[in-house]
Amino acid sequence: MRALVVDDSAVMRKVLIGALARANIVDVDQASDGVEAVAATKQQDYQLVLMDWNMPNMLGIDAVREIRAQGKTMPIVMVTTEAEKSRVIDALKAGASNYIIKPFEPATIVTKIQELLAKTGAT
Amino acid sequence: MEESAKQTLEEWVITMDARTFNKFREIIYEKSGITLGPGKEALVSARVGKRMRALKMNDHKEYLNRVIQDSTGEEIVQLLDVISTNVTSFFREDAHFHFITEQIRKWLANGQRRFRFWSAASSTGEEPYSLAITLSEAFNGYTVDIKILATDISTRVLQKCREGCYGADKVKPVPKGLQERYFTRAQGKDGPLYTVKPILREMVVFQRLNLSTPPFPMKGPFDIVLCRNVMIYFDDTIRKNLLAEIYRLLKPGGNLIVGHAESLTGMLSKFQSVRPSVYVK
Repeated sequence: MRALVVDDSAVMRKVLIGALARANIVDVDQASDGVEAVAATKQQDYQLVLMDWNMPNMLGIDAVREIRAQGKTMPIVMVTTEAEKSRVIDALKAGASNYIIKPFEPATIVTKIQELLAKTGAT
Repeated sequence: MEESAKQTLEEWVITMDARTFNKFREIIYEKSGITLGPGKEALVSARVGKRMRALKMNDHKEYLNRVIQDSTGEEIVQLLDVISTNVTSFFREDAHFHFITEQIRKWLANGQRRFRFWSAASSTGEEPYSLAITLSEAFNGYTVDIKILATDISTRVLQKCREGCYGADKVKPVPKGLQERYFTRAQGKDGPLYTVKPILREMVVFQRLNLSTPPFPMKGPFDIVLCRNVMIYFDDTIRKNLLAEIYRLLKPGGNLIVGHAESLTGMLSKFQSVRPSVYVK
């Protein structure tokens, strides 16, 4: 089980890695923008991606599109402050599997990740 | 029924023993960072009593055990709900809202079109909606991307925020013209009710957040953070960490606004004072 955390904020990445650890996911790589994320998914198979929306170089939503265009089917969770319904729909259309609004509660994100992985059978 | 409940409540106020109080105090501090000084037994008893009545319990120790044994953490949330105070009103300390308007005008003139605000202890919504009204007025005629994040530790008050529904006495501080522009008036069973219009509601995102446990799962940058009348409940360590976290989340030149009676003097934070209760990164 290997996960990729994508966010341009180092603090956010740290918080997300902490949340993943609580869901017993400790094998985690990091990317700080969409370009790095796409590159990482080409080199490595991930069973889970946590993706920020607003990042320099390439937005998270564009990175999701590119990852899906590679034919990758792992769950991708958008973790973002973009809370409007239209934004959520845009993300899901682009290929995101789920959505978490920042700031999230640690327990919420753990539950969501566990549910998602149980559903995809990727545990 | 009401009378007997009142009487029982008074008995509780008298009977909470020091040991139980200390245990509550420890749990509350550990989970929320709120410091309850000695002599707050009566206050804690009365507030905890409210929750116990809802659960039809009449022994503080029994309730304490329930809090300790609840592995879901839900009862702790309920406990913090009744303990955290919710004194707030529309346009409380209106000088702050004038300051915000001035800042917006300055930033608009500089070409800024994306704005992020954070009402850190939003309580029942008066503060974030006052902010939303102020911003709507200041941005009138401009196409901008605005978002207000409203957080509180209490799930109960966040629910009130989402509903955005207030009695006539609550909206009194809102000037008449603004009331008409931003609220829908309807007749409730205890008098008129004012509900915020979607244009305001859509500007605000509500999320639960415990201010005593940074780093917070967000990255900002915010233009203005309102953190008013909440740090008084925290001890110096938590206050210092919270200030450092707000500093991280603000843009350079962004503002932190605290309550008028609060001061960051001697807090060893990186903030510069702009005027009383207003700081800049």
